[in-house]
Amino acid sequence: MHDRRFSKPVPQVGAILLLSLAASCSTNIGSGSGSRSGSPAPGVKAPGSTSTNPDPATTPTLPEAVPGTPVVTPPGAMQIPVTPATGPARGVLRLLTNAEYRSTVQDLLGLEALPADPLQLESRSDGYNNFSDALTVSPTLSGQYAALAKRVAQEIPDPTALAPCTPASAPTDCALSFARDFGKRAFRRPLTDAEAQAAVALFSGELPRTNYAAGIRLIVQAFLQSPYLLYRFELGTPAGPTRLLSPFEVATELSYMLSGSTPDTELLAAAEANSLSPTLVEVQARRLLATPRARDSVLSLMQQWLHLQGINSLSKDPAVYPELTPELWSAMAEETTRFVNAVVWDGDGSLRSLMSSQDSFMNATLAPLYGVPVGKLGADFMPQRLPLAERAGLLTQASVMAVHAKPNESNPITRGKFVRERLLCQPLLPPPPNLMVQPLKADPTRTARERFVAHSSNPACAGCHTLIDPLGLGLENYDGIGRFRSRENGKPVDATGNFASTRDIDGPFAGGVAMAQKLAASTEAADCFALEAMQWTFGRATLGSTTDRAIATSITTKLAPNGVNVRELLVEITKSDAFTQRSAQP
Amino acid sequence: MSKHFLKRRSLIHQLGAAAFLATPIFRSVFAEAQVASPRRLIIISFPGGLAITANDLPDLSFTGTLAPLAPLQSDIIRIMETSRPSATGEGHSGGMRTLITGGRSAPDSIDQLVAQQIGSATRFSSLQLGVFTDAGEGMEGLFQGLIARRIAYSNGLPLTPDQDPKALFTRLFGSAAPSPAPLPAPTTGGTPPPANTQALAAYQRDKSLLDYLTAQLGAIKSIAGTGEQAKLDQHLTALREMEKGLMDPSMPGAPPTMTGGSGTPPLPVMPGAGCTPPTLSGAMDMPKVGADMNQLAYQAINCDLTRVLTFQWMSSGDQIQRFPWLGINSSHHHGLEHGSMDPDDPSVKVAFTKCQTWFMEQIGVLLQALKNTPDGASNLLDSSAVLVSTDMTYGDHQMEPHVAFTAGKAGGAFRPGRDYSGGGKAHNNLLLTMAKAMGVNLTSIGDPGMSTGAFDLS
Repeated sequence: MHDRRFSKPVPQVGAILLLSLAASCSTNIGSGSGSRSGSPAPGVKAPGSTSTNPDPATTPTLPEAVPGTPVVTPPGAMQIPVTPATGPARGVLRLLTNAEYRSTVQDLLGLEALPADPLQLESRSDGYNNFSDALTVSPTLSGQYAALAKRVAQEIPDPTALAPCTPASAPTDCALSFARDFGKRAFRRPLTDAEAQAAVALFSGELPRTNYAAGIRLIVQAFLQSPYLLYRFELGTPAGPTRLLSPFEVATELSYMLSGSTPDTELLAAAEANSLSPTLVEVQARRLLATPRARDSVLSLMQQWLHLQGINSLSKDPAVYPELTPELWSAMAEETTRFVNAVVWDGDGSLRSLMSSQDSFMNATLAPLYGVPVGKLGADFMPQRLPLAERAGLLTQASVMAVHAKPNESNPITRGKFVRERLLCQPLLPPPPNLMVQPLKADPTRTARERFVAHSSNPACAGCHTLIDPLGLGLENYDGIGRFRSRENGKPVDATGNFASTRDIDGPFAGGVAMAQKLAASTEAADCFALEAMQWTFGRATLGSTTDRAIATSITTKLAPNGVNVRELLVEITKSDAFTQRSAQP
Repeated sequence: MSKHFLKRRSLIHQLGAAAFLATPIFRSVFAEAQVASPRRLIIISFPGGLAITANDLPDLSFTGTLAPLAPLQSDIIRIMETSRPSATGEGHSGGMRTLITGGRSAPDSIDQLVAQQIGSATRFSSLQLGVFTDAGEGMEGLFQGLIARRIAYSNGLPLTPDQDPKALFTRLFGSAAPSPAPLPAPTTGGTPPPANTQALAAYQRDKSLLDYLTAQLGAIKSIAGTGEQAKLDQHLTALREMEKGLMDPSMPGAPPTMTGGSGTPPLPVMPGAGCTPPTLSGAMDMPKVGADMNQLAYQAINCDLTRVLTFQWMSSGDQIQRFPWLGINSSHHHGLEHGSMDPDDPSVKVAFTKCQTWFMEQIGVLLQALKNTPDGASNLLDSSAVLVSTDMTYGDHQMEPHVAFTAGKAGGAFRPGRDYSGGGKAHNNLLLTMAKAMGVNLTSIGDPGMSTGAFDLS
């Protein structure tokens, strides 16, 4: 057969924005056809020159972050072209996460543990596992709910204890009473008569097949896979230009936010008494925040915000990091857990401390990574003050640095992107097509900065990379597993960096500690944390909403005098309009 | 027609969970019934394109990256000179989102459009398989549409692929594990009811539960907003699939008991055409999961559990999975994708090519298994329309030219063993081609103005 060839590639250069998670930008333009847009940008090599090296005489170099010399950013280069959303978000049905579902079933039946039957992994969106639009019931998940519900119902030791029925009573009346009682907790609201009767119909159908107990089991089995249990309803009812969530919807929202499970008796009673006005929401929020489960909720927020939830599935090149055992990964994660708990619950609770504290926790497994003498340390974690020159808060912890790195070395671009997008909430566009994006390959003779700058001399790349690289390079004191280093490949590490295009922390800095201190003092970073906490709370994107951004700013402004207390920030979110209002569209 | 219908019903009942395990049944029922072999649509995606060769083209050579597929060269049509206008300006996520939908916000992927027409013939109207598609974080939620790391879409929502072989096994073949503790016997004492009665009770119980849940979803649909309808429809589809799996013991042709066995006449056996639940490795590393998924995909087709199947090997831009079994430790797939054109470090291209060649080898395993399986007068590959494709041309977000090839004869619709030029037309037309091979004639898919007509691969 005749072997037809592809048409000869025609170069194409898109926008001048470039961003890559794990790579640097090349001076070369990749080959490829594409006739839709434009000619090569000025200063960009023509296509077909794929294998040639950049000509240093004709290609301008990326503006380096030089202390005292702010980088000029192309105006508007990095802004995401979204039409900002305003007003309340739309009403949604939020599928429970797997953890929420398991806790809910346990709480409803008072179980110590659940059978380990699997549930299909949640689809993540923007790093969060609870985004409403991403969570759907697939056939597999539906079958898994059914199997788990059946097993749990069958393992109830004595259904007649759950739904007592004296010999004198009519079994159907007992079943109806049970359906109303259990159903109210399962659906997180009272059942309508029709709903209660539908459950009793299941019971009545089962009775002639088997017996009373089996009928009660079947009701439980049905409730545990009912869409009224599986979805958190946030639909609201029309109220003027918006819809208002019902007291039961608010109670549900509050409970899953702060306890990761179904509302307890007191919260449900408050909803039933219609006493969840904003003031009383605050009372309930503070009550839930005082329970141990609130710690898990805050940790869930922190881990997802910092991309730490996948830390156990990451792996590194064993030839480069032979010391990185599963135990060390676990110890890194545990350090962050203990640090967050200590600051939020036992310390001043402030975002400022989370971002800048020198105090952390160490055990014998983790100490060598931090250069801390093992001394008397054992398996237990002990408080440890870290050197001011090396560590400050979450950003410089080994877990965060190791997650934002390559398998075999650090990654200034991933780290810079993380700081820009996740700590400042300034999302960036992906790199345009046909620009070559090349990884920073390991080179035993050069530092990452040297290699990186050599690869970043294309003005087409500079638009975004002036916003990213000077941030990531400021973290070059931390290697691919978060170990502090002052030398790389025999040369001193240059960890100078620069903030540009920020609200209040533009300017040079040197090293991760100085960077963390800048972020800890930034109102923009505080607003960003509030926006991320709202993303986690509401299970939806908030960064593109001017309404959400205004709420975030009002919260952090109020809390600024105390360094933005994280617990108070969560309380403020529950008091915001975004918590109780949805858009008027049905 | 009515004879065929009865056969189908019978087969569907045979494929019910437990009875399936107890009773070997064989796809050659079609031969016995003297009906034409059904056509199957199989879409396989691999991540990040191919390495670029010296002539600036992606390496679709049977002596290069496609070498593992060289023995199947006469079954393959390489689709040359097609474009990807719907993916212009997109990265990894957009490349996947548009791959078989033909549009950034296209509601349905081509497999779903086909399944809507032919899916009712089988136990599963379509299946989505994945091996490692969840890795990677990003800002997609804000500006690229949610979860664009999937390839199959229905009503604008991604379809979550099955990535746990054990869970998929359970879905396809029922649980091989002993069922949970039996329901307590009647307290009135006496002997347990006979098996037949138990089976009928189980059926009635399951049916009443599904009716109960379906009615609730219907009520919720009536109060939820338009933005939530697709989500509820997916849930309803899931319940319908469960209902399809119920076996009514009172139906003629149904096995007399849930555990099957006696009384179920064995179907004729065609040598070498065994439809049996595969033995899974149980391991969770990528090569083993991939091998298990290959087995499950093969038997899903071989047992005629579905005729529409997508198989996504990995998500593009993956930043978790390394390839230690290929000796590649220094980079995730994302790094390999972007590094494959690095003139300063040819070793990345070598590693990337090794990686992509490995994907071809795995894809070849499934294609070869289909080819080895007799089906009517020919084999399963001949009756299938297979599309193998990828989210981008190569890893630097290059979308042109589109990388794709077909395999199989699609029951005569394709004449393989050659290359076909799309003449620069949009790959949307290739998607229409796959649908047409399945007897589903569509005039357009995806972004408007990109569909000009199915390619003639005959």
